[in-house]
Amino acid sequence: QGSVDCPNLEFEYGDADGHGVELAELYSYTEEPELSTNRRCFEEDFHTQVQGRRWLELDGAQQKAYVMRLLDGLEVVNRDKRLKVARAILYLAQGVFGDCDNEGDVLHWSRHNSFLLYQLGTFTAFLELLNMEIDNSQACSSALRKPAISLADSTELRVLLSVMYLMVENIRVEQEADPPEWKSCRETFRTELSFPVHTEEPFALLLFTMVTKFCSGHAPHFPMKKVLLLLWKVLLFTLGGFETLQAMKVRKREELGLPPLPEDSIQVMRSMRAASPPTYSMELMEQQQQQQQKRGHRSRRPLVKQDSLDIYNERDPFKNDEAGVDEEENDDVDSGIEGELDLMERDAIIPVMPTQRPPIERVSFPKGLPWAPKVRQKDIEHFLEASRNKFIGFTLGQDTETLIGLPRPIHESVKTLKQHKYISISDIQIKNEEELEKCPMSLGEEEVQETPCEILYRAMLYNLPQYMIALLKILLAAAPTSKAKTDSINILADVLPEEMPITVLQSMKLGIDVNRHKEIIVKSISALLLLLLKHFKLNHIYQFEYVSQHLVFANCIPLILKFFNQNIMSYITAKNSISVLDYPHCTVCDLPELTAESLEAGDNNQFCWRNLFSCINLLRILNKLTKWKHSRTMMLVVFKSAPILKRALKVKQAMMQLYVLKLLKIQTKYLGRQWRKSNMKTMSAIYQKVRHRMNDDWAYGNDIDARPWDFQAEECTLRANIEAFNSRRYDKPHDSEFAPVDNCLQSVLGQRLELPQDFHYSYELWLEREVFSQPIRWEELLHYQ
Amino acid sequence: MALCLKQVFNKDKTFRPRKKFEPGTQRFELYKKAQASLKSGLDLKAVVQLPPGESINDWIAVHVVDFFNRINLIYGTMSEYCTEKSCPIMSGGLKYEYRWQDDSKYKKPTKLSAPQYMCMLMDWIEMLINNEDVFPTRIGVPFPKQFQQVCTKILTRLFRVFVHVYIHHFDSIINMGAEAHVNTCYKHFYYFIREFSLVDHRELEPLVRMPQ
Repeated sequence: QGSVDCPNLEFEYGDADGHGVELAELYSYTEEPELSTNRRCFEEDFHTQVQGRRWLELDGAQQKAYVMRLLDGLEVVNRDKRLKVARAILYLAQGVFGDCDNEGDVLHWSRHNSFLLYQLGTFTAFLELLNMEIDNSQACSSALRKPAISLADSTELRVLLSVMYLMVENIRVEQEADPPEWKSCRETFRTELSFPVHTEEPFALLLFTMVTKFCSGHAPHFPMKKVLLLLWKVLLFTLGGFETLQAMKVRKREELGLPPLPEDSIQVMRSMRAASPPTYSMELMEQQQQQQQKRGHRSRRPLVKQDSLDIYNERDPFKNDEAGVDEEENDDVDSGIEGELDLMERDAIIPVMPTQRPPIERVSFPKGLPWAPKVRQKDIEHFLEASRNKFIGFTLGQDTETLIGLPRPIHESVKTLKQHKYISISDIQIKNEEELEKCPMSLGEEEVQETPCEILYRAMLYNLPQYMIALLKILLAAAPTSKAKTDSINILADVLPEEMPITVLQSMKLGIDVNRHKEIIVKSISALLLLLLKHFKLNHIYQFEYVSQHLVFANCIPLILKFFNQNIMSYITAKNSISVLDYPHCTVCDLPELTAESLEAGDNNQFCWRNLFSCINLLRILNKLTKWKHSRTMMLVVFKSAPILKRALKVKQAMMQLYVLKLLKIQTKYLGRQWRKSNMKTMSAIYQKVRHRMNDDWAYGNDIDARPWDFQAEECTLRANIEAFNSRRYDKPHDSEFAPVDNCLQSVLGQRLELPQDFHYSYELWLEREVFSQPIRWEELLHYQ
Repeated sequence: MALCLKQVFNKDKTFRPRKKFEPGTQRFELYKKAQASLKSGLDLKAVVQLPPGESINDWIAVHVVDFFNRINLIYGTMSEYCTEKSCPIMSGGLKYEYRWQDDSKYKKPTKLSAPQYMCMLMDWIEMLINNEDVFPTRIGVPFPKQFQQVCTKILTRLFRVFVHVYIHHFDSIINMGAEAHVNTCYKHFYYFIREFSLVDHRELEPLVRMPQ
C-alpha cells in the first residue's frame, strides 16, 4: 500500500453490467457441464417431435406449438421427468446454443425464446414449480442430514431459478429493435410481477422468504446466489433503475410544486474526475530527496495550477505570462510522486488538459465547484435564532421572516441563505405526516398511490426486520475477509461440486469460482439494498427510515466498514474469472486447455467491474444510513472509519472517491484539528468535490466532545415517528381510540354486564353522586391534545 | 551592496533594502508573487475596524478563533515540508529564533524544532479557546479581565507562524499556487493586530517589509 500507481479507471456506473455479463454471472464454472445436459434433454425430446430440422428453422407457430407441448410435459408427477422437461425449457431460454455459430446468435436466440416462453405462460408454470420445490420438506430434511452440501442438492431449484432469471433479464433490458409486441410483453410482465392478483403477494416477497428460510437454517440447500440475482433483477424491473428514479423524483417535485433540482446528479457524477490519492508524507520526503539529488534543485512547476484560484472567481494576473511554459515543461515533468503532487490541482481544470482515455460523452460545466450549495429550512432557523439570541436576547421559534433589530450583515446573510434554500420531498412528507397525526379525523383517509413500491413495502412490512438481518448475514459471509462457511450458513452450497478437486489445476479453478461466487453475491445484495433504499425514500421518507433503522440495528455500519478494511486496490483489480468458461463463449467455442498460467493471468481488464460497482453501492448505502443522523455519524467516528475510508481514496474513480469524501466530510469536525492539519489534501478534495452546505462548519468546527447522551434520544424519536406512520397507514384499526362508539339503545341495553352485588342496593346513590351531580366540563374538549 | 557593520546591527534593516526590482529577474517574479492577493473587493483595512454597537471583546474573540483556524490549515498545507530535518529550530530567518515556554512541561524557554513548536502552539491555543473561562460561549457570560492580554499572547505566537512560513517555506506555498491566499490571510491578520495594537511592534520586525 505504499506508492500509488493506479491509473484513472474508466468506469461507467449504471444499473448493471453489460447484458452478456449479467447472463454469464448467473452460472458458476462448476455448473458448466450442465449446459450440455440441458442441450441433451432438449434434443432428445425435440427430435422425437420434429425430425431433421433445427429450432431456428421452425416458424413462429411451430415454435409455439412445441413450447406448449413442453409446458404440458411439466405437469407430470414423476420428478425426474419434470426435471428433464425443465432442462429442455432452460436450453431454449439459454439460446439453443447447439445450433448457433457465435455468441451474438446465442444471445439473440436467448432473448427471442425468452419472450416466446413468457407469452405462452412459462413464468406462471415455473412459479408453481418453484413454490412446490420450496415447500418440498423432503429435500430440506435430506439436505439438513448431509454433512456436506453441494451443487447436487439444489439441481431442481437451480434449473427453475435460471429459467426465471433468463426471462426476467432478457425481457427487462430494452433494445431499440424490439417489435411492439415485445414492448407490450415487457409491460405485461412488469405488471404481473409488481401487482399481485387474488391477494397474493408480489413475486419479490417469495424470494425474500427464501432468503430468510435459508438463513434460519431450515433450507441450507437453497441456491442463494441465484435467488439474490433474481431478486435484484425483479426489483430493478418492477421498481425501475437509477434513471427512472431520477425521472420520478423530478416529476414528484413538479407535482408538489417544488422548484426543480439544481443539477442532474447522474450527469454531474459522470463528468467528475478522480483526484490523486493522498500520499504518505514519509515516502514523499524520500522521493523528494531522491529527486533533489538527481536534479540539484526543483525545476519550476508550470503555473497552470493558478486556475485553482478560479474557485474564488479571481483572474490571476500572472497566468498569461506563463501560459506558454506549460508545453515546454511537459517533457520535464516526471511521472513519479512529484508529478502526483500536482495532479490534484491539474484535475480541477476540466476541459483544458488532454486525456489519453477514449472519449466518453461528458457534459461540460463551468470551472469551479460541481454542485450548487444547498441550505435547509432548519439551517436558516438556527442561524436566525443564534443571531437573535446574541443581538436581541430572545428567540422567535421557527420564524424566518422577522429580521427587525438585527444588523445589516445578518439581513444579507439571510437573503443569501434563502437564495440557496432547498426543500426536499422528504421535508414535505414529514410535514404531511405530522398533520395527519394531529388530525386523523378531519383530514380523512390518506390517499395512497398504489405503485409497485408501495405494494412491495406493504407486503414486506411485517417481516422486514428479518429480511434485512438475513441479507446482511449473507453479505457478511460473502465479504472477502470473512469465512464463507459459518456455523449457521454456508453460502458456497451452490458452487461446490459433489467431488472435491484432486489436481492443483482443479483446485485453482474452484478457488477462482468460489471467489467469483462471493463477489456476485456481494454485487447483488449491495445493488438491491441500494435500490430499495432509494425507492422507499422517494415513496415515503418513513419507509426509508424504517428500513434504515433495521439495517443500522443489524450492524450494517460496522459491516460495511469491515468490508472496506481490506486491500481495496486488490479487490478492485481482482481477476476472479475464467473468460473461456463464461457463457455464452463456452457454448460456441471449443474449450482450450486450461493451464495454471492461463488461470493466473486471468483477463486483461483494468479492473473488476462488479467489485467496483459493489464498493460504490456499499459506500452509497453507508452515506444514506448516516446522512443527517448525528448518532450514526458518531458511530463512524467511534469505529475509527477515517483511516479505512482514506485508504479507499486510492481507487482513482471519481464516483467512488466522491462517496468516500462525503463520509469523511461529516466526520471532520470530530476528528480534531491535528487530523485536519495532516490531511490537507483530503480536505482540499472534499472542498472541491462535495456539495457545500452553507453554514456547515465542517472544516473549522471542533466538537470533540459531541454530546453522547443525545444519540439514544434521537433514534428513539425517529423510531416513534416511524411506528406512528406504519400503524397509521397500515394497521387495521382494531382497538384504536377512534373506533366508533356503539350508541344504539337496543344493542347497549341488550349487552350483559356483570354488576357487583352491592350495586343493586346502592345504584341510586351512585347515580346521584357520579352522574347527576357532576357538572359537564365542556371546556375540556377544547383543551384536549 | 556592501555590508557595513552599521546595517548588521540596525534592527530596522532585516532585509537588504530593495526598492527597485528589475522586471525579468527572479527577484521581480518573487516580488510579484509576494504582492499577489485575492482581489475580492474587500478593503481589509476597513473591514477590521470595530463595527458600531459591537463589543470589542466579542470582535477580538471571533477573529482570534478565525485566524487560528485559518493559520492552522495554512500550516497544514505545507506541513509535509516542515520537518525535524528541514527546520530543527523554530526560526524566523537567520536572526530570529523562537523558543517555547508554557506553564506545564516547558517552564524555561526551550529550543524546539519547528514542527514541535507548531504542535505545542496549536494545542496551547486550542486549550485556551476551548476554556469557557477564557472564551465564554454562553450568552451573558462576560469575558475575563485579562482577556486582551491572552489574545495578545495568542496572536503574537500566531504571527511567528507567518514569519516561519514566509521565510522558510514560501517556495512550497508558491508551488501550490497558494501565495495569494496566504498573503491575503496575512494582510487581514496584520491590519487586525495593528488596528487594536495587539502585537508589540518589535515582534513584527522579521516581516517589516511585507505588508505594502
